[in-house]
Amino acid sequence: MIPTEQIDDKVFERWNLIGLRAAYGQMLLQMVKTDNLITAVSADLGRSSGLDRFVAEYPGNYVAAGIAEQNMVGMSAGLAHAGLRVFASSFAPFISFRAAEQVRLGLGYMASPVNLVGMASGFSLGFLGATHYGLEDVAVMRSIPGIEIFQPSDARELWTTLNYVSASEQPSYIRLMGSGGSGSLSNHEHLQRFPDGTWLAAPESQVIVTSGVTSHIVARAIDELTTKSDQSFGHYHTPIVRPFPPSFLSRLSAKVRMIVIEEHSIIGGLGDEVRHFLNSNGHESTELRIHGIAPGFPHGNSYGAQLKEHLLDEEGVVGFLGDLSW
Amino acid sequence: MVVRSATIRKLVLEVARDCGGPVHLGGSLSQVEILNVLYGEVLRHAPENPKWSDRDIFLLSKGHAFLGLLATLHLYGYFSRAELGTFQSGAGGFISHPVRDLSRGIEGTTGSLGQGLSYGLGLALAMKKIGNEGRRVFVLMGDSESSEGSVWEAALLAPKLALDNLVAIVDCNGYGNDAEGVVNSADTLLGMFRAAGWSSEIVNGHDEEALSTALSPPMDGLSAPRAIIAATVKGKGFGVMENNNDWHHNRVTDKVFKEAIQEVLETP
Repeated sequence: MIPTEQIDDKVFERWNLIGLRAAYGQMLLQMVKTDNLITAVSADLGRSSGLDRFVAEYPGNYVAAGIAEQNMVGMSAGLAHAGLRVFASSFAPFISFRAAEQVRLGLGYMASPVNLVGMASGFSLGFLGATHYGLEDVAVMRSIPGIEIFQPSDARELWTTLNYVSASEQPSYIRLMGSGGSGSLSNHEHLQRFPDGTWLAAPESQVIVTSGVTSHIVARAIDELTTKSDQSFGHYHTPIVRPFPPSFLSRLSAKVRMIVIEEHSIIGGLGDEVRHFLNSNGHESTELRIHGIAPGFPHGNSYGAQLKEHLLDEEGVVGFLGDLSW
Repeated sequence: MVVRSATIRKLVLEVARDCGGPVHLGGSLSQVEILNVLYGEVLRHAPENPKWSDRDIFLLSKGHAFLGLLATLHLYGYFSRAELGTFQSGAGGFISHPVRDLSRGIEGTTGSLGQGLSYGLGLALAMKKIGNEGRRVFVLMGDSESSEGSVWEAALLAPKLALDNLVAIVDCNGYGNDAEGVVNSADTLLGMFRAAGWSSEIVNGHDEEALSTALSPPMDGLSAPRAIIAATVKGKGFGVMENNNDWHHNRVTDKVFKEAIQEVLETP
């Protein structure tokens, strides 16, 4: 592995600008240079995974699976059990729903340490519409025991995630969301103890939990609200959805109200994971609201328009939090 | 062959009787010669060292026929008769389907049909990439299982990757769980595999000599993966069970056992 410190800040800036999906392929290219076991697989979406240069420079480390996600995942389970470090990518709904049975058998039951990469999740694919949206992928993956679920918010978190799962014996699902320039965290101290979350705003009586690029939007919304009103919110961000970081509890008071905001269905996503986590840790009575996407098949529209319509852009989050009553 | 196929069949019936519950007998019995030829002649394996890193790999994609594989593995020395006797007995014993357990020679978890070929393809491809090219992967599927779309996703990919170390075998016993309308003929499967770019042929799945030849293709210079379509009889070996789909999944009583076993004893 190339130590993070050896990667220039400007490279991370560029990766943030091109977006996590394109950066993913470029990061794997860096990783394969020092680890020939790295094997990239994609279901006819190598280019869409930013893997062009990887394929050109390391063709022996790439498998073009074709538009056949079930076989891609089953094959990946074999590749990983034989000792290769496998990263298999496709759009989020196809690698989760389409191949769910293969994920359940190969990564779940057989615990083959494959790393699945769900690209352009949430509303990222805009006008491609609900066939391509990743609104339930975390729910599918959460239903399968043993799979760690990551949702990085910026290039440094993605880089750390990829290097972590590459060395891990656990299967994983990495959910990539957002678009180019979705933002980045100003402090990455928590990556020293990866996988762990971090407090972007110190705990208050109301605590917001987010993950992925949603964290940037919510952080801006909190700034705006605290500037123009007397409301205050704690804000916990995590690049790992499951297992939810135990350190979350260490700074929580008993009487806290929680809000999870996520670009995912309100069923089965981060909100449900937090609820499960609280219930399993003696916080059954904690009030919890989930602000996400109502179950449905939203008509295709631009990414920005979808976030706006579902009150998941900065303005929408400000409105939601401002109107919140318990 | 060290082990007689009739011995495997008798053992299948014995364990089925002893466990007291319904067992997938028809498909366990139709595959016996295939398994016996693989473990007796074809596979490079070491029962005393089941995780041997140079071993060939066998995957039972038609996982419900597990009892046939278990009896074979026991007779080739992978585990004791007592362990075999834990089949469907509860308390952590063997269940109806394979659960990956390399220490007992069980290479993959199957039972959800149509997945063995993909997993085997991945193992075979990894062998090539890691430079362990002498190793091979054999995947045994069912003719009805071959309706699963994922089988054909794998079938279309393997020739593109020139996996001459991958051998698919289809046990064409002519029935599924249902008797009618669910089966793919040997000719259809032959045509499908060939169209996808496999080297494929139909063989008599109970002819050990023919199987031995078909399952031992030279790997040198043969760039296509190989698909052996084995024409078999479901329930093979016991008159009451042959081509009688009531025995797809059924209970072996003492009476049935005694009648059936008499035939085996009379088999030369």
